[in-house]
Amino acid sequence: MKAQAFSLDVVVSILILGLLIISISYLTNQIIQDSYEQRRRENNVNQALLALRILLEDEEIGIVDQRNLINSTKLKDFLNNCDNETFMSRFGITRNFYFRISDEFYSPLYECGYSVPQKGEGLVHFTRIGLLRNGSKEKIVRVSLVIWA
Amino acid sequence: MGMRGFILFVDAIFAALLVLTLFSVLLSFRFPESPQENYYYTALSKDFLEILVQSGTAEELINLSENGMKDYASILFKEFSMKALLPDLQCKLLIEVYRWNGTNFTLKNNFVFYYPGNEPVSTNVYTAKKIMLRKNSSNVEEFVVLTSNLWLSSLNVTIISINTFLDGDMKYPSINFRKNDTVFYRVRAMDAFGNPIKANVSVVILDPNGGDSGKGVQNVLVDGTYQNSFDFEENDAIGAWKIVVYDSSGRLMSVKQINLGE
Repeated sequence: MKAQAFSLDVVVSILILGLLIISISYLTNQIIQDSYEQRRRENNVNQALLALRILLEDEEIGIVDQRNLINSTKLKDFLNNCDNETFMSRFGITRNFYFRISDEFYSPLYECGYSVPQKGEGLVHFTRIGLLRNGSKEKIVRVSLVIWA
Repeated sequence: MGMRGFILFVDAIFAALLVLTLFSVLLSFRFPESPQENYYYTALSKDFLEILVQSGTAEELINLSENGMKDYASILFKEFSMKALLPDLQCKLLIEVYRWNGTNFTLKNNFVFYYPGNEPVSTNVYTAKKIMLRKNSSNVEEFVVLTSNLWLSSLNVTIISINTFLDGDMKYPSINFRKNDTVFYRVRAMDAFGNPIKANVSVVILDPNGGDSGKGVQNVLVDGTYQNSFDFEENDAIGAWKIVVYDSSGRLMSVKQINLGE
């Protein structure tokens, strides 16, 4: 009788232990995946913010004459080299990206890069504002950058 | 035996529940506001001031206000903010004009402008300052301290995107349509970090003359994504049509231009 009780205890214990191990491993896996996705997203956020900063604040590498004042010649040079990975790495962009300058109504004026997927991994989208100078004319524009893995 | 096994079983269930609860608490943990968010909105606040000065709008605001035309200045500021600010942002601008009285600088004037016209509803206010030099109407040099306070509106919507398609499954994107075609469109609402969010919006379809065609919808909830369609008819005007999205307070959120041909 005692031996029977002991064996049932062992079976139940093993069963419960098994369930615990499965649920813990599942949850641990979830946490690791979440943190991986979070890290990827954070990297993309950093990359997008840095690239926009260089583009709109750096007078030597960026597309501006002075902070936020976009030079149309520099902009054209940037757009012409958009598909050149080495050129894009100057702005810290090493992943898939889509760049757009749009007017106040969000109608695109200039764009380059890849088409934005429905569900890009770690997809982030940031917009800053600038003043586009073309000859004597100036226009307030929105400079957007989308980055995904 | 039965009793002992049962007690062991119940103990184990409690242990499992405890572990699951601990993990679910860990999983639901959310980090506080990230430094990236702070950096991004502060940079936008600085952008706003830079453009305000470079476009000459700051100078105009001071001139109008000093000449007793504060109402015109407020309108000018709102027009500028509509163009320059992202849709989810609101702003308060403080302009302080200082003059030299022979021994030190004293505050001569200060003006406050709001867009769209309220005090901050958010606790997170992103501040930037800029100093500019100017000459007043008597050709005397003054310096001006501009302070912009930006905060997120209650909607917290950064991006409203509109896509148009030829088919109901939304596999074939297009901006070119013909008469009698159905335009399938999708509106997406995301925050600055790409997370889908909820927003109440109205969709207005403008004809090439800028008139409301009546093909849009009022007050719909975008729960991350909203999909709908409308038809072009035989007597619709050919040209550039616009799909315009407004938020519940009537502010312009996004515009998509599509073309109607023969």
